[in-house]
Amino acid sequence: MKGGGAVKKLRVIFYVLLQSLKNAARNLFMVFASIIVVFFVLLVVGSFIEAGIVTSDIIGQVKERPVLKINFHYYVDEETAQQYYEAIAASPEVKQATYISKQENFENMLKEFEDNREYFENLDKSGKLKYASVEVQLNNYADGRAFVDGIMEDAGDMIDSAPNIFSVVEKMEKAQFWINICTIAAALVMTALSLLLIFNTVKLTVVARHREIEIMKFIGATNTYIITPFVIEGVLTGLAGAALAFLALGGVYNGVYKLLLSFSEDANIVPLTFAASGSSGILVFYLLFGACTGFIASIFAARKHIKV
Amino acid sequence: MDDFKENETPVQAGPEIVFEKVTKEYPNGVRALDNVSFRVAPGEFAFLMGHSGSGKSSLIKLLMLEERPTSGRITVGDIDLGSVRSSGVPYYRRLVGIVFQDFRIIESMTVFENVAFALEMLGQSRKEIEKQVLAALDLVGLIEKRNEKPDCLSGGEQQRVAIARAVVNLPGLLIADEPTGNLDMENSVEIMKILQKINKMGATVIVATHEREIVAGIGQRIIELNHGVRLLGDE
Repeated sequence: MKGGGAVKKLRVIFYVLLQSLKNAARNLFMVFASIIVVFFVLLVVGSFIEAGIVTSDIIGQVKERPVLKINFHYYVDEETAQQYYEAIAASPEVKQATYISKQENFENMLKEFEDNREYFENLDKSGKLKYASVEVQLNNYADGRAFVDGIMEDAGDMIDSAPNIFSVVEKMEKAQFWINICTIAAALVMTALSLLLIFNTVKLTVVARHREIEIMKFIGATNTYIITPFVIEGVLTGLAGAALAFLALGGVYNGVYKLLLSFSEDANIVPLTFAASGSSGILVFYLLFGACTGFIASIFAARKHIKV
Repeated sequence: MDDFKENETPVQAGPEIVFEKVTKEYPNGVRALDNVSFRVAPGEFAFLMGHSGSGKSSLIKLLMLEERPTSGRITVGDIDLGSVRSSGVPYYRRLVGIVFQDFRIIESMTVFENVAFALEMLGQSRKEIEKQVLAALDLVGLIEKRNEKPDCLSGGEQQRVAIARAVVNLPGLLIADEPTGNLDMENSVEIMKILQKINKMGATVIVATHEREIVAGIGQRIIELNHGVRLLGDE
């Protein structure tokens, strides 16, 4: 008889699932609105999370391979530039230094502007486009700022630019802090919004099915039996929003990834692909968020309005 | 009744109903029933009569466990309703069929689905559901209209759907709260005949009504209430 009981329970579960889908179909507009809200909530929160992960990774890469390029003024001759290069290379903070001659720099530039090669060759007759550089890899990221400041103090009149990636990193770290704050704030506000909308959707379904629920109570339906279809509806709504948001996040990320790739070589960084950016963790988070939000909102709406 | 659960065999023979010194007072101070005692024998057909506000609805609410008595004791068969916990109420209600004045059938469902609805939650197979629903529709004479939607039915037919739904699970007790209140005399008589037929099959039937013509035509026992006090209907 136990087997028969199990079959009956399975039939009831199947019937309840069917009722949940019917609920959703009857209330399609509000369900759709709820899915859209969950979708936007997760897309916004997910974007902040991804921004945090990517920023953190770039900072990590820069700290791991602290490289900077010192460009001399065009009027500094190769011999003087070489002397500075040797001094720099001998510094204890420096792990490796590479000298780039005026001609090498110029050739690199011409390669970059291949289509306008002639124009730049003609423009160079003044010699102002030719300058020597030293590419420096430091032992320690922490020494970076002091090293750049020291170079500028010693030979500031000869150096055209020493892109201060270290101050950029500091700015990125500040940005990362604010990204984290925004992530938390967005998550809180958006979660409240999702809960409210799913709550209202389920409430509307309950009101629409008020008569049916009343009859169910009189013919002996248990509280669980009455509430479950509404809860399943809420959970399915949350999950649908989560799945759509994940797909959209992947699309947005890939767009940003292509953008990052276009200047990653110059910045000496390798951007993370979507798969490597913790996307599987985000998917799990999305699905959990969708399911939990749907569950909590619908159970409260159902319990409050069904008064079982 | 404490441990009365889903898989127990439903009572098919009509149960005895006993009210012993039952009083129901609402929080606003209204005393709907005042020390009411009566007994309905197993398989009996009894009318519950009284004008509006006499306590008929409160008595039915007590029988359906929508409300609990302030004092006194109610038993339905072997079940002492006072000992039924909240979690046991749905299982108790599966032993009781109820019919309302306003039919309470679901507009979006067909006649068949409305009746089958009560069996779906019990997890019965398609075959069992079909067999029981068709038997119930046959009993009320609506088998031909099983695929119709309620809005295609007359008031009398809608009430017959409600009766079929109430008896599809073969309850031992059928309670009808003003079942003819929204019907003309012809349909009312038809409904009463169906209720009598169900009673003859063994169920205890209690019909709350204020229509004396109907009661006179049937000639069954009357329990009359007036402002919560029982006037007629001694055993």
